[in-house]
Amino acid sequence: MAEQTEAYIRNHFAISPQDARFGPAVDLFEGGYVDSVGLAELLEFIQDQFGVEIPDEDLLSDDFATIEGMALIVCRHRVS
Amino acid sequence: MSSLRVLGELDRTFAWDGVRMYEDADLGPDAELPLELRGAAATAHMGDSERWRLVRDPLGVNKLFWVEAAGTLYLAARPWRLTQEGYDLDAIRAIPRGSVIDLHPAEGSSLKHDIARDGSGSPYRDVGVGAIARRIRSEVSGFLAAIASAHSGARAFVCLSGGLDSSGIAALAQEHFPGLVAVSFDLDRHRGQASEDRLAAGRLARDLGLPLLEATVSGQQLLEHVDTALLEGIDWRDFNVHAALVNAALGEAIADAVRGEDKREPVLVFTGDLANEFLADYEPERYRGSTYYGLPKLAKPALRRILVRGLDTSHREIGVFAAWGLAAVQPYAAAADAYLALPDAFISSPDCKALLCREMLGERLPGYVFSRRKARAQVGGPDVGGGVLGLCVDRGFDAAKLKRRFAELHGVSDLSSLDRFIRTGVYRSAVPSIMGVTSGRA
Repeated sequence: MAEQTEAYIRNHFAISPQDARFGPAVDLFEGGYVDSVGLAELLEFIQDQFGVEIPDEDLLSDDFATIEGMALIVCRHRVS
Repeated sequence: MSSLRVLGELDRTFAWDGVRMYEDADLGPDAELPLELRGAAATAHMGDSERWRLVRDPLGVNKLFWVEAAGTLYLAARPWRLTQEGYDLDAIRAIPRGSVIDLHPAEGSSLKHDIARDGSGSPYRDVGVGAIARRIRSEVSGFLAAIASAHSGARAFVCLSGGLDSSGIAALAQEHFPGLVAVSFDLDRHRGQASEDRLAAGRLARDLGLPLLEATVSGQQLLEHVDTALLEGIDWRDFNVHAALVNAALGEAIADAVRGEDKREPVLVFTGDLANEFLADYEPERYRGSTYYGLPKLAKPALRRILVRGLDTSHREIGVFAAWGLAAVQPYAAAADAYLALPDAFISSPDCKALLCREMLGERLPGYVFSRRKARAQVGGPDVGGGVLGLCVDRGFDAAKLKRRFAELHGVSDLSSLDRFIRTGVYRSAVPSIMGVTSGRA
């Protein structure tokens, strides 16, 4: 799940393979990788790919700022 | 948490259950759960034994924020009420939209119930667009009738741009508010000619037999409202601030028009908002070679989901009009379920709004309204240079400056705090915790 999301973000937001800072633990927003408009597209990817609609309360959680955190949130809502 | 305090006034409630308006007593902890609530509500009512009930409508039309400190839960309709008391923006949360929260501080308990948010499982399944259009009209009309009944004698205005959404509200509101006055915004940029919006609004007002109140302001006058737009509109993003500026000018003109009148009833201001979100009817704008009001690159159904979710944020209508003592009402909110039941294929059609409005309003509006090209209220016509967007860009009120000013007004020095306050059209939200929160459904 984290791998798929990372691949989507790398591809969709044109992140250079040479970008050493980028990874599953990086803060996507503070790092400038994803903006508000881009996040809307990412949310649709998550909904299409994993069948999960991220609740508002999770959207602004610290976890949702990283790929690995997003994967945890998606897993939680998939089983609930 | 042992006590609860509301700072300042909360926004006026305009909510109904499909038949009648909710009154204060219906929203308290001793009443039945208001799970059919539609429209605008963000309330905090105390019942027996110091029990409280917090309610926020399913779209998040009305706003309610909280912070907990020293055993007290502070609530306010605007974050500035809380930051003014010394609380950090980082500590402020919104009450989640579509929730009913019962708090019993003495027992240390809280219980959250969800209000259904969309038309899923609604009676609209397998119903054609024509039937949904008629349902939208009857819902909006019923909502307006209920407001007219609850506030007989209230002065009523309708913000009229001459576009489909505001024209539809004008036609329907006129049936319930005989003294309805249309009010039209225009920006005087010393070019000596009215905007396309003003001309369209004037023509339609004449044809509907509505008096027209003209709110024409200079660029300087408009920009004097920036702080009001930011504080009361609870948003710094340019597309919302620009719309809030238009509403500030409209609000000021209406407030001037009713000054000195009997205020036992609220002064009602109807707007045609929300239809754009329900139909994903937005496009980016170009000005001086740059693109503004950018949107995610998504198919219309997905864009609609994002836009409707984004109604949680920005108080550019109700909040800004409230600054002038006016009660703004967005009647399309009453028909949200019907709008959201419109099939994906239909809303993907480029002329879906005109088709829908013809079905909804037909003979109530002159034919030219249906064929007019869409113009955003912030822009006012095809000449973007004559609109608020052009004015703000030319005067240096760009997105970055608006964000900095919002931060200043809320005592924020680290701009990244703002990115943790609004994300993709949603406020940071949480249920106030009293030794753990449980969720419940009726």
